[in-house]
Amino acid sequence: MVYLTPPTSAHDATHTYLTAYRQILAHRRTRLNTPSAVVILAALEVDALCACRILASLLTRDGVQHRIEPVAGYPALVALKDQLRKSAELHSLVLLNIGAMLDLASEDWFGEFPGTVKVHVIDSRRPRSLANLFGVGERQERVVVWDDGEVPRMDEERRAFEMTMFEESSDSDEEDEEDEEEDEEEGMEEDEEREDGTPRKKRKLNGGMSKRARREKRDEYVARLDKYYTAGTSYGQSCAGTVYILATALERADNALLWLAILGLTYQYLSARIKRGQYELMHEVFSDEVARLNTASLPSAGAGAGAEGPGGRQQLTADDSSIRPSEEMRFMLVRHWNLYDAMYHSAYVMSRLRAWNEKGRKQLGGMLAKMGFSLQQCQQAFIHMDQDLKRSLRAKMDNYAPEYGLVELTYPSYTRSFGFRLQPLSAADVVEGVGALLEAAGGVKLEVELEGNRGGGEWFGGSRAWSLPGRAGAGAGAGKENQPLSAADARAGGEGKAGGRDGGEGKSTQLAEEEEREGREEEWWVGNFWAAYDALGMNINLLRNSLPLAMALQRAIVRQGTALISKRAITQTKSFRLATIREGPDLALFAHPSTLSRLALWLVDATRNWVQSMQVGRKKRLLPFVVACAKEEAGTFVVVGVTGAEEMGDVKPNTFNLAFLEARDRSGARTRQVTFDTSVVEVNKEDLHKFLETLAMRAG
Amino acid sequence: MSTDPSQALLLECRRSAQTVTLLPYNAAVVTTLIRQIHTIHAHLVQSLRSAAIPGDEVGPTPTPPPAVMFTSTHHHLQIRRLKRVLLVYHSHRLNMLRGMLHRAHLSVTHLLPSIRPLLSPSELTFIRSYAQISMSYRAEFIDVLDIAASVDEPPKGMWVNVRVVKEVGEVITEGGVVDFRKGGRYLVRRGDVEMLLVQGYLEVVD
Repeated sequence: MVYLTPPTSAHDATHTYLTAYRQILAHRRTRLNTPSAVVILAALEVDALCACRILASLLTRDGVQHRIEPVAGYPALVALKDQLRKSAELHSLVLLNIGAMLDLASEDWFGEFPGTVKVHVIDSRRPRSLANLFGVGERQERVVVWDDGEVPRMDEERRAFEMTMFEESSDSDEEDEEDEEEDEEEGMEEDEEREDGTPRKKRKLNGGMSKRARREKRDEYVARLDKYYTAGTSYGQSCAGTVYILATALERADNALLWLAILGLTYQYLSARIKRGQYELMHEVFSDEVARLNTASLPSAGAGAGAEGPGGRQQLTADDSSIRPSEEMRFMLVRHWNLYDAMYHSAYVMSRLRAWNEKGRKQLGGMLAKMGFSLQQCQQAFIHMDQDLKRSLRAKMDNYAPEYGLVELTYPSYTRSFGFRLQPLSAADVVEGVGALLEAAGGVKLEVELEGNRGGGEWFGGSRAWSLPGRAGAGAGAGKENQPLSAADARAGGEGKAGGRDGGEGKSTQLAEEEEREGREEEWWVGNFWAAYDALGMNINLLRNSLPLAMALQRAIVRQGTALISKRAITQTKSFRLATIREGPDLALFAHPSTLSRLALWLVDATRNWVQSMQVGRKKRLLPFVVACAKEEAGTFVVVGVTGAEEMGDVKPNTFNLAFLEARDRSGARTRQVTFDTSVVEVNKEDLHKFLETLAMRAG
Repeated sequence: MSTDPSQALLLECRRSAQTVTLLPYNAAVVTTLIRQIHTIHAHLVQSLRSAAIPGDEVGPTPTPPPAVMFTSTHHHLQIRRLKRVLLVYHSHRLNMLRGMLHRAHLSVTHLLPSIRPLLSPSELTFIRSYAQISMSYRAEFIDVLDIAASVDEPPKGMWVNVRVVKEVGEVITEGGVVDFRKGGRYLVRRGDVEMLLVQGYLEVVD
């Protein structure tokens, strides 16, 4: 029942992040300081990645041996849990963006672990399992939730939870029976729906009460809990932000850690997890931090680098790694692409200009012409554009963009310098790059444009398949970061050769190859995670190389999105819009849940204004988007649901988690939840139709 | 001499040196070359015999006729060249093997499985006995200096971030049991894993 409050003052007597961190440190001077003692599990997303990096650097400086494991989804988590249970040394387990909704203290998760094990939960996802926050008992003691100051405001939920718990224990006979039933049911059900198992339990339990008043009271509480759990998924303070607060409390915050925290926040904003308001709130906090930690660079900032867009020039020095505040335009990777492409590929411009058809594209060209930017200049790589154009970009945009409906063109953000090694990157650039690495560094093939051949036309435009730059020497093997040509591979190769010579043993070689391939498929996301992890460190080359990948990824998304729109492949039901991707060159790409989510978000953004203008007279309501993509090798469809808010920058809680579960229960479709993202499910190919139909019937 | 098999060996040496990989022992070409040497040698002996003056007079040996001189010199040079090729090939391989052994911390058991199919039987005997000799030499002053340790990269700190290349399983270190699983990264004490690093189970990441 432990939850931690952010350390607001140094003399806080209650549980704060600091107390938890000290607990993690507790054994560092003893023989228990082994990597098996502190285990960090991180979800595959940029926010968790940043948090993981901050935490790892804190622990490294404290000399705490630890182990980091990326976890893709529930199956991986279960496997890892079983593996960890055997470990006698384990005493701290840190979950980054994993499992806030799971009843972690139950037998299914970490209930069977020895009592000395503490499970620290740092998760930005809401709602959280109230059992973790308010539950009592020896088992609950071991779950420590790092809260962002929200819990004190949750008094009502707390009371409701405590009351229902208390009632439960008062009439034990009944409860026992019920409990058994419940257990059985839960045994049959998949793990993933545990998060809503809790409210249902309460609902059931109030059946046998006799006193009316009590029952009413109880119903009220249950309703309260139900409301909390069914409000849909939303997000609180970013995971990286939470860990950064710990770093400041330890007085160890520096630019590198601050940058990671900013990335975590930017990621949340760019992936439409938090509202503009939430973003600005945190942005202010970080502004103070940036000012505090970058005093040396401020004088030069005063000289004109202050609030500059991408067009501005900054005085660079060789080992300048400072962070500067900046106003970011909503153009994708504008510093590294060309202006036209950056505008064309950003959902923001797309939605306002409807650039998916010829007319819209003309409009985009027209706008640039009005601003006095020749198309030739705009298709030049941004760094090679005329200086005066770059400098006047911001002012021109402000003048002409509103005419085309491009209001709120910018948002406050930061850029970081990388000395002479790389141009300054904005937080959004890095988030895009690292996100692309996470999704597509390995496992899928993407063609990227060659540097310098951009816009070279038929003759000079070149592209090549993107692959992870090999590690020096050993890693060059298969272009896979995590699988250099090890001795085992070499042996397999040797056997292969021998078999070829003998002519008889080809079969065994084939088998070995198959096994190897399977292993690779399973592991590619691990490789991606570490590639992204390295890029977030100071592996500048990898970071630089990730930018073309991000562009290629965005190209694919826009290509697919425009195809869906222009082919009118989007159908509308009463409660949502549906797009199904069954074929296409990028099928493998969109089988990745987070890429598919990005496509869905892009569709929501791109069609927002269009839809609103279509519905003149009717109540303007933006329907959620459901996008399904075939995952051929598994024979399933990945289905993503995204809620659309009326305004850009606004976010509605995502209720698809429950909708999906309900649809599954009603249709009997075979689904599984592979990632921690609650709005993503995998549905068997045969059941997809049934599943979507049921989903559509559900009242929106 | 494009059909000359010795050319193949030289080419192999060159490729192996440039790519720093050990290629399989080319037993076929080596035997061919040895057989060639034997044949040429037989020719040489025969041509000399034919030129020898019958009888056993003691006195200054007369110069053989120019035709014989020419043939025998030619044969002699051919034999010399082939021998040089063979020597170059073998010394290159042995150097390479020694280097590999040193990189593998003088541990034959660790090195062999990966390269065994590439070796000839005599090379196998060589590498084994070479390792044995160096190990016994090393044992004399192991308490002061470990000649098997690599000096490529002096350690920068006490801790090191490693990733698991090959599944190791549980390893008992000074601190306790560590379960090295593929896919994760571990911050560990350098001394604890030095051996695993050398053997290629783990790899340092920065």
